Amino acid sequence: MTETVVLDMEQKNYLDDDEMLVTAAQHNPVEFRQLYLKWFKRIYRYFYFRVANEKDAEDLTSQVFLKVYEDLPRYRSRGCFSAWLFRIAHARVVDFYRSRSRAVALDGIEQPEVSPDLLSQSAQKDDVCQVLRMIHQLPADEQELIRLRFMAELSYREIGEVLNRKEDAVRKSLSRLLERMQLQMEVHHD
Amino acid sequence: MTNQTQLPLEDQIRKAVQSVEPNREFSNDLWNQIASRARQPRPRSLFQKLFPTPAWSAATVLIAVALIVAVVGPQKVVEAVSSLFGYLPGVGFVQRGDGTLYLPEPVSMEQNGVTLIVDQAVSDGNSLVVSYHFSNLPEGKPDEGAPCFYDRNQIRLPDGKLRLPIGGGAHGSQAQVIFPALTEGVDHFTLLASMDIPDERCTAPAEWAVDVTLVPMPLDMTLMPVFEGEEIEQPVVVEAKIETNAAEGSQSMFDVSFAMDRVAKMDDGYLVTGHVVWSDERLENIWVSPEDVAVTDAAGKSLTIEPTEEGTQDNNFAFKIKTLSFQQPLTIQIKSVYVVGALEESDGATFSFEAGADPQVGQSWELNQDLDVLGQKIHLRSARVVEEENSENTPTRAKGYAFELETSPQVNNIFFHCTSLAKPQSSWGEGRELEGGIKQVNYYSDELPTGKVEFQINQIHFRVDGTWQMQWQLPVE
Repeated sequence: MTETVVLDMEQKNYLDDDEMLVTAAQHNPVEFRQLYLKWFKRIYRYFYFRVANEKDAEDLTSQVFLKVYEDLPRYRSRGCFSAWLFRIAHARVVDFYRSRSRAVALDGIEQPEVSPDLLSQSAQKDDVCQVLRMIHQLPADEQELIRLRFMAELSYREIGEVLNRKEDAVRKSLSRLLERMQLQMEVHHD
Repeated sequence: MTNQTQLPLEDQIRKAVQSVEPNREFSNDLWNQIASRARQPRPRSLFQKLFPTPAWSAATVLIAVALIVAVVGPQKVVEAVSSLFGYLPGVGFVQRGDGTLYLPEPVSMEQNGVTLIVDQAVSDGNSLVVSYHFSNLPEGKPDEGAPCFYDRNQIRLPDGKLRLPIGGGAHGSQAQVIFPALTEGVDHFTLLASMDIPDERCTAPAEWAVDVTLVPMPLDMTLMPVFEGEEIEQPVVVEAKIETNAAEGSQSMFDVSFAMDRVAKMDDGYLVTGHVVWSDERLENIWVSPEDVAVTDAAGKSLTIEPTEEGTQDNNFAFKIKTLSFQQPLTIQIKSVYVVGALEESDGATFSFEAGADPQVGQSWELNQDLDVLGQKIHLRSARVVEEENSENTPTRAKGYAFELETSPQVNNIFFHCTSLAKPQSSWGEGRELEGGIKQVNYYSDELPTGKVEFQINQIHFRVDGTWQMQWQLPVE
């Protein structure tokens, strides 16, 4: 390696079409940087809110991007790139918990407690802590919906692709889930 | 995702999410780890570089038998010229119509005595093609190659968004770069050209930004006539079967079709483009090189074939018949195809050996295993722990396995993937030919796989020789 590149993470808004970015990266591997810029933070946050500590989130993020870079030449557009990306991410999390010999929950994941590491980063501690605790008390499939929607910032359609569900079903599930959580929070406040 | 808030809770979740920022140092380190791989040729390319096509396939031993089924459909002389496309030298096929934009005259930009000239740019419904060249670019010493190589091309749209190339590229001081088509209502962009890795020998400016404004292409603008459509494709589809019997006791059949897509009449001949179709999902690509195309006319005269600058990506091919004078019908012969096979883990082609807990450099294992990979016989002789050679790009020397193997001369490239790694790692490799036709493939990854290691041949490139042949009535005006 002859050069160290410091990334401008704020560049992400200038390039928005995944399929174009993928085609460009397949054409010239150096252009993978654009996909990286766009998805790095979202993948990291998706993992961070799942494993609840920085080190493991970084490790998983590294694994995903190395895997995606390696497999990108073989990627063919069969839906959407984000779905492919987050299926890889999901598989890494499954491996992560398997390798730690934990009990396997419904979707292969045991949920971690909210860690001090996670909470210490939050600027708006009180309400945020409450929200995070609520999320972590949800069943695994509902947590995944929240993470894909808010941490990964996926659209309903993209979430549907990841979870193999219809877009409308995702929209309804999330809507009901958020309403329920909102009610719980209000009751808690009262 | 829109930020339209429906419930206060959503805002709170978003605030929580945004309060978590990845460590910047980690972000840059990870990118630099990826970039170090990206700037090198991919493992496949590295291997390919050391084994350019002729190296492994120089021998003329024909191990693959091709069954040819030439289908000569009901021929008809096509007189109809496409109303949709024309051919513009320097750009390629251009869609005629209201939405097509072009550059009425070249635009240029001068910096420090060097000039970038955008010769032509055309945006139609398919793509934006930008052709440019540099004038007065510093030249390097004869043996050192060009010091200034502007391999990073982008366009910036009026709204600030960037678009990356989807094809084409720079060749010396010239470039023809293909971008996604401009969207409706956009007729202006800025061409950005820079060097991905600046070369200190280059005294020319490192970055260029040239504003380009296109105008609607007049409907009566003179373009070279193009023939296309059903009349072109139907009579010349060849349903061929590639039958390989390289592996004893096994046989692979690939159904392949060749079809002609378009013909552009030029001043000195005809440009022909076509594509290859196949059904076997394990085949990632099949390439036809213009050098492997032969054309004879009805009188038996062999016509000169030239490679063309027309992009031949993926399964497309193109060649130029360099004459306007011949007797119809033509006989088109494809003498060889280059097959890229990509295997999933479920496709097999795996082997394993017990490397122990702490394999040492120089330690080796006799493998003596035979694999049949898409009909190609691979004999694995041995594996040995090796250490990567020092180079500027590899300050730390990775350990890996060197595999010695025997293949037919038709096999150009083989890629290994370790399936027993506990976690995915970046991997790379290189290859060389040893004496006696033995090939050595080195596999490296971030951590040396240990214990019972399992590998898969997950990609193989091989040439299949044959004589696929078809008769064709070339459409002429």
